[in-house]
Amino acid sequence: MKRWWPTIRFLLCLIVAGVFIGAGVLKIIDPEALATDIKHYRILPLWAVNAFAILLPWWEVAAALALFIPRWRRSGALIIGGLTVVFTVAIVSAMARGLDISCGCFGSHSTKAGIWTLARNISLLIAISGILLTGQEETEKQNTLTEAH
Amino acid sequence: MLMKFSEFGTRVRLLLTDRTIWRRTFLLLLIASILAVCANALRPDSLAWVIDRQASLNPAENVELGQSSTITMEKFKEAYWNMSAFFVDARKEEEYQASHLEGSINIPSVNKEDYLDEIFMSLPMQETIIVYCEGGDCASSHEVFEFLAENGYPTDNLRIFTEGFLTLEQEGVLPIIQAEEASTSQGEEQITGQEETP
Repeated sequence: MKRWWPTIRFLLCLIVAGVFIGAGVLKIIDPEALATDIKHYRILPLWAVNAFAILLPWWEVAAALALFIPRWRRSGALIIGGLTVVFTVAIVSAMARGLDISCGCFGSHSTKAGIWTLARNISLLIAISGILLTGQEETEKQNTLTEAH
Repeated sequence: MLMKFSEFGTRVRLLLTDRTIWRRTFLLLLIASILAVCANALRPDSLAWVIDRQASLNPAENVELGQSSTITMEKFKEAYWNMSAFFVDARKEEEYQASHLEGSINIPSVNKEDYLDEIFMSLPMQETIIVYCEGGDCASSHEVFEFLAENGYPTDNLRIFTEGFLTLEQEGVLPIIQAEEASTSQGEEQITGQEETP
């Protein structure tokens, strides 16, 4: 099984990066729509909404691209994992409050925040855990080699 | 099992204590943030970093802030029994047809523009209009509220009932019309929840 891990990890990176690059680019295209979606969650204070709408898509894209650079992979996965946890908590909170809102996950192509978006986030979290918790030995080897040079 | 529990714990600990990873994570966030700042400054439709509450708040956002435009269940019932307001259901057409408050008007937020003629015919501008959707703080009622305001309805006369239709249905004190599955095709409807009368 272990010898398949690099391939599985690469596929997981490809899927997760694909989702986050797509989501990030769609949000970058229309930051105003993203700000409106964030506002509808009623979690962030109004003064922080626009700042979050400006920064969030770039964090997503940068972290997703980092998944393809071996030494930066786990840093990228850490950011994406953190963001996915935040999104999941926001969706659960919206569902608990009975909010009838768009999830804002893919800009104007988003679906309603509900059980399916929640299921998608949980699947992503499992994939991200796979990326984060495997291949540590290889990264350590690379780090040691870099330090030796 | 792919990974033993103890091995999983070790890997998590390794991850959390690896300073290099945290340093790179911080650097990555910093680079992305700088790019975001530059991109936002360069784009023609750049977003203001902080919303100007006074200048940019629309009526719907005033409601979000809990100001004057929302009404309580008590006031809602009072307005209903006194017939002192018009009731707008902002849910989807199929949801409205499945069950709705007797006497309410359906203006689905998804295609509200198609209902403009009906709005002008059914809703007098000088009367109080109460908008609601399914429950909680759903966005549909806010969108219809904003739409009515944009079309000349004075915001002083517009209210949002934030508890929504689900609360009305649960309370069961106002007449709810439910389309019976078997008789929907024949246009028959069943009225439930009439514990009080106007």
